[in-house]
Amino acid sequence: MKRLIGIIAVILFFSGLANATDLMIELKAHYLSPSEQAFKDIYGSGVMYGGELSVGVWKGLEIWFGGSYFSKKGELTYSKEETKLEIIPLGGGVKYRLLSGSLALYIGLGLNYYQYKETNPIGDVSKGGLGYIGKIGSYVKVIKGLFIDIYANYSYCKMKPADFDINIGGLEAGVGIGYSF
Amino acid sequence: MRHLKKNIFAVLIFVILLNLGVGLSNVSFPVEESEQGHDFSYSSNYKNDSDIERYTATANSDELLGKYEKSSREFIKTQIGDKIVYFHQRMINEAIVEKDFIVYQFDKYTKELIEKIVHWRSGLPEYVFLRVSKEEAEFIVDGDFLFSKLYFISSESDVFPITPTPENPCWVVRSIRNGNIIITIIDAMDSTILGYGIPPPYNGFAFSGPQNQNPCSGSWNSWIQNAENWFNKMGYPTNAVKWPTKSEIKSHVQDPHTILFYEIAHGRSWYFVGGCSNGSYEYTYAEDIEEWISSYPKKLFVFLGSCDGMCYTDDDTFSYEFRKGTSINTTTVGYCGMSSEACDNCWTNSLRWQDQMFLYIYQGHPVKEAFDFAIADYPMCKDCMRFAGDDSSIIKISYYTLIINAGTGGTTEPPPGTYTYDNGTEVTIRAIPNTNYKFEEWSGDASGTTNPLTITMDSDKSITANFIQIIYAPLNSAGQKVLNRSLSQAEYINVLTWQANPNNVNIVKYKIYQVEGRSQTLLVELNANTFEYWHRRVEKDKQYTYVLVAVNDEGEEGDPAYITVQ
Repeated sequence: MKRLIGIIAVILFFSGLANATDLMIELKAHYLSPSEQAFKDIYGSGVMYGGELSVGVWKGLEIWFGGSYFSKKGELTYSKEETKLEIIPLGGGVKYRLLSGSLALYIGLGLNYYQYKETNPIGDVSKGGLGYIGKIGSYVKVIKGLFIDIYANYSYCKMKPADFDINIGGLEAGVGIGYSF
Repeated sequence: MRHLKKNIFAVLIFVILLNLGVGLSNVSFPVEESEQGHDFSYSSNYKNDSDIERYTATANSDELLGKYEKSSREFIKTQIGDKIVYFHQRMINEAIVEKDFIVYQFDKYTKELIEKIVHWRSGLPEYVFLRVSKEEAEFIVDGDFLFSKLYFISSESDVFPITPTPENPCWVVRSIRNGNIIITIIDAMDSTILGYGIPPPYNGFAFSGPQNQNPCSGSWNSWIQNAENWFNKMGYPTNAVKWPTKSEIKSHVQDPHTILFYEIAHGRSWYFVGGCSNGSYEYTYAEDIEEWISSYPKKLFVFLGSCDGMCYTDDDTFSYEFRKGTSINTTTVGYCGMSSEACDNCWTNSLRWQDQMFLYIYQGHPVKEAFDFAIADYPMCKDCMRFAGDDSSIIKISYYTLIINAGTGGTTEPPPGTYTYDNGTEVTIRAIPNTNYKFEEWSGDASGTTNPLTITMDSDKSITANFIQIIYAPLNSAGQKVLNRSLSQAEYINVLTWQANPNNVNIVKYKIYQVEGRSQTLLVELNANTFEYWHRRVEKDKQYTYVLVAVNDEGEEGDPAYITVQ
């Protein structure tokens, strides 16, 4: 956690040095298709909800901060008892707009701190871990500052909350709606 | 007189055969017939000999018999209850053909034939030519000779268990040795001793004389009933009687099987008032005993319960005559001065004293020791009781009663019931479970699970064979270790499965034990409709062994099914 705060602080520091040209706030929802087969077997895919704040720092370069929430119920593999999973990624990174105008394609990278919690009859597990995320997407300007963000992410976070090493990331595809100030 | 004796003997044989109820070859007749003996209540008639009219009859001389019997055989005709009975014992010369006889039963009032019973085997000769005489046979046997008879022994004989059944006639010689009756069976053609027969049981005799005369009345019922009870308990069949006739007393004095003799009557050492005749006392004298017993064995035990019955014990006294003048293996006990003022306190305790003495005898003490112990218990009787005879003489407990019971789910061999056995007899009892039951254990006077069980009859015993329903092990029991996981967590489960055994009934639950070493730990009880159990959070690499049992509604666990999970 300290590490994450440090990274965010560094980003904010550099953002403060730059001339902020743009500020965007965005609400997002995307579909998560986990990379881990066990994840798919037990919980399947699901929707993550979140938000993101982006600040333009230099030309097409932006710094983003965001978080999301994933919650899903599934079944234990043999007993078919209910198991519940919560994942909360929090993090930040950079985006770079490849195009400008009403259709602004971007790519990005970032670091996430993943808070993992799983509850079932076998036990309750809670653990955090760092992962990374890669982004590609496009802002579609709607009117004035309002825009739609269509994006895809790839995230990766390997951790061992209990008995297994698992990757709780995967492919994400979603849409956001935001406002650019 | 000789003829009468012969008739009495024939009737006796008749009674024995009828009561044995043996099955032999049956001949067809147009009226109801039977192979079995019948309940004639004959014993009571037998006791009152004078009430039974009997004589010899033939088809020619007896109109009733002649209507059905065409042979010239001689029958004993007698009346038993409401029946007129004709009995013919098959003889070949003087040889009795064991178990072969003919009986006709007629209604006493209508003279209608009720039943004809025929036991008659084939293949026997018409005449007997003996190479061994009666005297030669009697010379062969050990002990004091009593009497002998010639028999063709039956293959179904109960009392002459000789295998193979002798084809020749046999001398059956009865003697007495060391107080035991010996029945020796000797081939009458070559004098070979073929074996020994089963003697009839010894018995006892207890009677009370009248207390008053003109007319006679009263008897010491409690005393003779006490003696009767103890004699019976010791294994010597006894019926207490009051006011026996002299002939009845005589028959018991002369009966070698009557070895216990109890009298309580007015009298002294040389006479007692045993019965009553025409309203007056009937006396029996020591001289009578001397005469009657002269050709018969002495008595093992005689209780002389006349007031002065035991004051004198020398020649011409009851004590002396019953002992035939010896003090070896014979005992007499009884009263002396019981009617005197000095013995008044003893008399009030005399029944208890007697009871105590018999108890000690029953417990195996010699008669003299039992006598002394009883005196010690009731010292007020010290000067009123006497003993004479063999200090070491013991009344052997003749037989004991064995009660065999079988619990639910099986039976026994011999079947459940009450049996009597000679002291020391080894008895083997087999527990036989019914289908779907198994023998569990013996209870009562036996324990353990040995089957068959052999016991020695040295006391009365009651033994129960207990059975339990077989609760079979569940079928197709199996187990496997499976992984049960979430995304990040895992457990291993040993999944045990089985099926109900259709032969089981009343199963209410299953129990599963975990076996570790020699110990079993109950893991779970499951209802009878459950056929799967998960043993959760087991170790991945550990081998587990389980015992699965069905449990019936009585809480009994069945045969185990073992399940091992790697």
